[in-house]
Amino acid sequence: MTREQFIRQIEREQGPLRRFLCVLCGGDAQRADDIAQEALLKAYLHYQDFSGRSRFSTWLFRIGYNCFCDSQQALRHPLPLEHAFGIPDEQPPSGRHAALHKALGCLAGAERTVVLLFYMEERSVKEIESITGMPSGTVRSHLSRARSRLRRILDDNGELL
Amino acid sequence: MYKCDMTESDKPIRMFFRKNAPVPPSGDDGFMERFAQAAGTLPDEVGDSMAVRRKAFEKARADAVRRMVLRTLLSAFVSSLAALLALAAVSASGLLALPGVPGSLLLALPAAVFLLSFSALSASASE
Repeated sequence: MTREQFIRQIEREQGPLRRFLCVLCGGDAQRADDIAQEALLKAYLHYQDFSGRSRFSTWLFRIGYNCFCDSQQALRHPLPLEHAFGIPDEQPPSGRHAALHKALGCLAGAERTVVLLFYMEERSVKEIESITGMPSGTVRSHLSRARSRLRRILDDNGELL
Repeated sequence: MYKCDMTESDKPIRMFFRKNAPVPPSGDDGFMERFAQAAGTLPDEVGDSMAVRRKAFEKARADAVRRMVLRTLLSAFVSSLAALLALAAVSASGLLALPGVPGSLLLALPAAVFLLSFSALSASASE
């Protein structure tokens, strides 16, 4: 992959990656963009190692997700989602996004990641396996648990009506 | 058995995400400019220099392992040689005469270590 091809791919993929990280960070767009910048720099340093065995976007999401995990470890005590809304932001989450963050806030970290990748980014289980490093059985069980929990939450809030 | 494929019960959740998920940012908000700036601070050949450094590190590590193995072999060689000579001298003087144990048997162990370390050392030296 040449430098120009890499830049073209990055221009195409930065939006979905930033959206994924933003929702994963509970709506904290600033933190998500910091993580995304770090991920892009790592990708830039290693794009010559990209073998093409997976899609570029899967490779990039894996780097992004690893950066998110590192950032969570650095925080040690991740901020509860409600706190994210207290942080002044250029674009505070709208009411509709708040419903999404609220529903996802009830899920465990791994379930939230899997649900976001499956439903929001429309990735296959195989791709999620590649991005998160979880075995496909674990991905499926997280997905199954998250789905029933999500259905209950959304039913209770009347979102599915 | 987990149901993960698209099912009827799956559709409402999918619809919820389609309705509520934020639109991916376009990158016109300065994000790509910030990335270009950050990447611009890195020299173009940074990837190459990292690969060179990695190769040099791997070579240095392999050399260190080889040196350690050689040192171990050399010390085994020297100590077995010393033991062999000492035992041979003691055996020749007739001081070491255990009942029922032939003198050659006592020499067999250091001789075997000596021969093994000598052949391993020769093999390493010829590489």
